[in-house]
Amino acid sequence: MKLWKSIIRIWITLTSLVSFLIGWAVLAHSPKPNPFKASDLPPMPELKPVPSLEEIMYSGQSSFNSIQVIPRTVFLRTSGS
Amino acid sequence: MQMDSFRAMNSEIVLIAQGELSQVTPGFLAARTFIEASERRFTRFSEQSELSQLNRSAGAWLNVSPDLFEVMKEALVYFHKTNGLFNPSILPNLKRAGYTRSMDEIRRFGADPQPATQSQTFDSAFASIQFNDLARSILLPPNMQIDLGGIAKGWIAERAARLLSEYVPACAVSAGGDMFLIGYPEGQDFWEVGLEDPRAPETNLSLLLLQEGAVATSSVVKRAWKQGEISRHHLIDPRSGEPANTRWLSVTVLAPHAAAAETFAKAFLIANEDDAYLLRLQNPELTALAVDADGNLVTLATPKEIVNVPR
Repeated sequence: MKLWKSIIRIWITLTSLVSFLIGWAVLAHSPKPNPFKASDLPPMPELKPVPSLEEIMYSGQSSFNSIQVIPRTVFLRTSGS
Repeated sequence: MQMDSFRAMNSEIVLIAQGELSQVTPGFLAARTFIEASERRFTRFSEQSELSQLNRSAGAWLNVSPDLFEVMKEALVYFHKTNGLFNPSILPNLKRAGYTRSMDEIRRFGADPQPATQSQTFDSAFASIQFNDLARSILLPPNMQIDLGGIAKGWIAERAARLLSEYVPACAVSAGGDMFLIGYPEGQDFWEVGLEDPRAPETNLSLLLLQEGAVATSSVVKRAWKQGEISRHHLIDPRSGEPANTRWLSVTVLAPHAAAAETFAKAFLIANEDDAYLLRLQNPELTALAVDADGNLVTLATPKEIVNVPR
């Protein structure tokens, strides 16, 4: 029984050592990563300045309605029929 | 700017013209004469009108005037364009809802009670109306009854404006708030038109700055009455045969022609969300604004004009 335990211990030690050496060899021969270069990054889009609320409202391209007071007499009215 | 106003078609008619008095005066007279003659032709409240004669002749061919022929043809075009939401053959349902006499008389004497008959629906019957271009005659299917109300009013306003524009460079004709605009007031490149708040008729909800063309508003509060205990209005949903159950108090449409503005205002008011989406897709040139019960102004179709809201 004692001899059997010793054999198992030796077997575990040897297989661990062999596995470690195999791993070391694989990593030592694998391709190396490229070094980082800032020039390899894709160009960033140029952002336009954020327009003001007034620019959006009066540009004529937005869904906002232009709001202003017109103190004038209205002759015509549409009211429903 | 010169202005004249009078009452016709159970509505306030307003004529506005830019020009010399010597041009404006005969222009106003011509427009007024045309409007009053057209009212006599298109009213359903007179047995002598040409429209009443057409209704009596349902089931048989009838030779009609060029004006009635043209309006009836336009009505059929817009019946199809609005996917049947505008349907002039709902007259029996309108009468059943109590609109048996003019609005002025209903306001004075009240509406007739509802008869015991069931309401009819007229989904596609109007499509079967026939025209003979050579003889200028019309065949209504048997028992069909036509009310040209809104479309006739818009057509008359546009024709009267075109007549007035032969005398002056710029003019507007408003028939109960449905109007047609030609040219522009001096020093301006738009017309200012107040959009009445349907909850408070004495105030404007907004001020529309409009280009030439037509504007029309359909409202469930303007021509409304009580039939017994039931509140009624004149916009019949042809699918149910009953006054339309709608979330809008009014819908205003801007269009190149008065008939389009009139019929699409009615159609958008009756339409549910899916119907309105379809109308928008099929008619991208229209601008439609709706007012809900809280007084919110909602854009139903692409707005081209600027809306100014005085506060």
